Amino acid sequence: MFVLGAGVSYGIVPLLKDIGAWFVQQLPNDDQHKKAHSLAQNLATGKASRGEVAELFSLLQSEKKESREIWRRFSEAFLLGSDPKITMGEQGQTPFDGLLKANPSEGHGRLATLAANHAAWILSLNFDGLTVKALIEGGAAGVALHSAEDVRRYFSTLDAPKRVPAVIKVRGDVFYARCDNSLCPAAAAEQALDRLMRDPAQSDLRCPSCHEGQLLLQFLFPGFRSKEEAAYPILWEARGFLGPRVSAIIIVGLSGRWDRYLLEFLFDWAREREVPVLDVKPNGEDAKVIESFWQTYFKGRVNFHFINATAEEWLPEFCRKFDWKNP
Amino acid sequence: MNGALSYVAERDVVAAEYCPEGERRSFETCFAELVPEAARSILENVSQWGLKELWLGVAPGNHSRWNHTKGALTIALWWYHHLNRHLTSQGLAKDCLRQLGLKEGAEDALRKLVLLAVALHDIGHLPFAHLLGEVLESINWVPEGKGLSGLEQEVLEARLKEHFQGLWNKLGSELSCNPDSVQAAVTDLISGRHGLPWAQAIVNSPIDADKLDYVQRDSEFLRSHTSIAGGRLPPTGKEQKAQWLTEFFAEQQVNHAGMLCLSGRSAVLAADLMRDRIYLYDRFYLSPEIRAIERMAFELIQQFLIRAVMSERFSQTATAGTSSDHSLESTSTLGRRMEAEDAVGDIRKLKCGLVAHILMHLASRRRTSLMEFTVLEHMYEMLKNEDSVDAGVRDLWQQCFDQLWRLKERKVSISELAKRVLVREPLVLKRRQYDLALEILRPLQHVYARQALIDLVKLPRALGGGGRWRGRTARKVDEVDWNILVPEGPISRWGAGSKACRPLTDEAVRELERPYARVLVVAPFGSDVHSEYIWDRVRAALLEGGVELVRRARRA
Repeated sequence: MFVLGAGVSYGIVPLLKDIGAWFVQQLPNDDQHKKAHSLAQNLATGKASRGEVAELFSLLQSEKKESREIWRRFSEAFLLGSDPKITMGEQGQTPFDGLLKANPSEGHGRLATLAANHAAWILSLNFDGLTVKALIEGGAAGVALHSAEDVRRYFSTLDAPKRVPAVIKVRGDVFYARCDNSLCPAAAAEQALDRLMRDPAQSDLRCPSCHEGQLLLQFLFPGFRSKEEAAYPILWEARGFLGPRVSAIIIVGLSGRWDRYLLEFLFDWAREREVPVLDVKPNGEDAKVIESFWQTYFKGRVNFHFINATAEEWLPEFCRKFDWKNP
Repeated sequence: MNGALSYVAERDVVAAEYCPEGERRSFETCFAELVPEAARSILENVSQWGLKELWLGVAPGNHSRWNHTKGALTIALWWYHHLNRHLTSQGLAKDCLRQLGLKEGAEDALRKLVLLAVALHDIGHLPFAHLLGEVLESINWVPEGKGLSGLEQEVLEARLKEHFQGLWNKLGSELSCNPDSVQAAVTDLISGRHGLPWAQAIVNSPIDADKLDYVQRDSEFLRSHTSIAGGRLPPTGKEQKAQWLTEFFAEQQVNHAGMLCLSGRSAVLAADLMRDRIYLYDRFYLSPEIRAIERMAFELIQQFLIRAVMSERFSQTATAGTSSDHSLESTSTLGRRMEAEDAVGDIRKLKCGLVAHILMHLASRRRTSLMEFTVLEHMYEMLKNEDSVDAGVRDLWQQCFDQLWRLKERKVSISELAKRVLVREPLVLKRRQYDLALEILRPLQHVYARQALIDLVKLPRALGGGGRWRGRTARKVDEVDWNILVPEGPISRWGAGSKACRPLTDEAVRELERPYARVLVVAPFGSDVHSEYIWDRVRAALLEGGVELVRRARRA
């Protein structure tokens, strides 16, 4: 089973610090925006605590007119790649063309191949939907399961004509969209972004439900407790169905810094099933977070290996070893 | 399939279809091909119930683990055939192979793997059946199990490695994979930890081929030899069995995710099976009459094993003349084993391994259908010469063995003996308070070691067998693996037309649960005023310790 973090989409979808840098440029540095500006600065430099990031997004999504305008521009830049563009990379050198136009990487493609071959299950914390997109582009259908009910329905369906691989989405720090037309049913419901990505020609953020209103991006950045409470139902449901089918838990591109509950859940799962945990990510700032968690709480009870590589480097090698090709 | 055909004919039809070349072969031929000879020699002399057949005054005869294995394999063969036909027609068979990393064309090898796991599912059993596991559990000598009880798992792994290596090599070459992986897959299937849900459901699940066979087989044996379990036993007889199985398989299918789906009649019959199994545990396997007798045997086995493992002097005497293998004498005590391995490691695993080692040696020298009683007799012979033991305790051991010997010789019936040694009525408590009661009763047993034996047993869950997952994050979860889908709603509402749509969980079968444990006081010298006092002390200690008794004790 693969557990995917933001690192899998590195270089394709902006990280939080890239988003922070965009806000530093766009927020006026006046008294009214001083607080938000300083928080965005911390986010851009990787110094922000979880509480500070939560405060920043709360300020940005407030009902104040100026905030709404900046947030609307951000939504367009993030989803459609409108100007001023969000940039990615260490030096901010790569412009982001918007999530709706983002294409899966080779890593996503490899993961899709494994899932389509029934060789792996995928649990993803990413909102970008690129693994499902890779499944569809690879010729196999693919579905994203967003809730415990989705997971139960998927595994309990009796008369499905064929097996369609699924990506189980764990609700974490997630972007959603909501219609700004208050009469539209989509105004009350959160739309997962991967469901908006079906039409590559989409040029504006028109609501797929009413076609009148515009989709407004929502960023859910809950506190630790709310985040855990939101994630557990789908995690337990997945564990119920997948428990005996998992022979290793491979974490790819997840720092683990803000996901302690998830680490505890995954290591407990590995302990119970006597399967190893692999942590695949390049050496860097947060490289040892998961290893340190293992050493403190699960050393001697779970086999753990750190693999110093990016998803792009490691996944092709892994697939080659097992001779998995596109079905 | 036509339910009117005899059971034997049915299994031959299936066996013929099972043949890869399509030629007609009898079930016996297929069986001989599938099951290695080593399995027969291990299982042939192990009775199905340990010592219980003797307590009923009947020689185990055909009621052996070997015959049960053949019965379970017959059912599995038929079941696999049914599901495989469905998988092939739905185009899901290839998915199953891919999921296991197998290449196309490996269907026959997969079938062998699953059926072999059924054929070897009892290979981890030592003499005395589950009583031995209980003995070790009560002295905390059982390493954490992977699915089966720790002891059974230990023996299973050792035997699969020791006796069947040729088989793993052969299957490994058929499947183009490492023989160790084949062995691991069979071990996982037997332990209930395999990742192919429908195959796991056949081998080890709450409704597996093992249970399908033993519930029928044991009911038949009980019906023929005793009225102890009352009249509410499932129907037996070849035609009824065939009819039952035909209906049970009729509305089963495998879905896209590999889950075994039970709809309509199949779900109803699965519920019946679980109900019958719980009934057998309540009224026979763990009934007060049987437990009273088993508790006396339990005491002798436990005292023997403690000494055989911990005392070098005792061990040398106990195993002398039983083995030509001198390694037994040199490493069969804990101290020697620790010296030999130069490490402590997991002490429970070490003790458990030693117990398995000793019992396998004792059993290997007694290849008769009464093997278990002769081993018990040997244990008692060793114990009675233990001069370092308190005379009162030795008298109690002697009394235990005398009572058991009289029962085996049919000088007394089980009901007469149970009536004599059972002190008042059982004390019933909630199953969740079992561990608490165990800790309360342990010191009391020491106090009254010369007069009485205290027995504590819990009734099993409705969903027995199969792997269980025990999560500890955020909330504690203890739940059976989700391999099977059943209809919505309480079990009493499953019926014709109800479609499988949710996993079979403890919650789904809550109506079937008998979540109780029972405490018995057994007086091998016969129930009298002293033992009634002990019973009263047991009851008072439980109440003082916070155990909630389900029924108020009343004088008989």
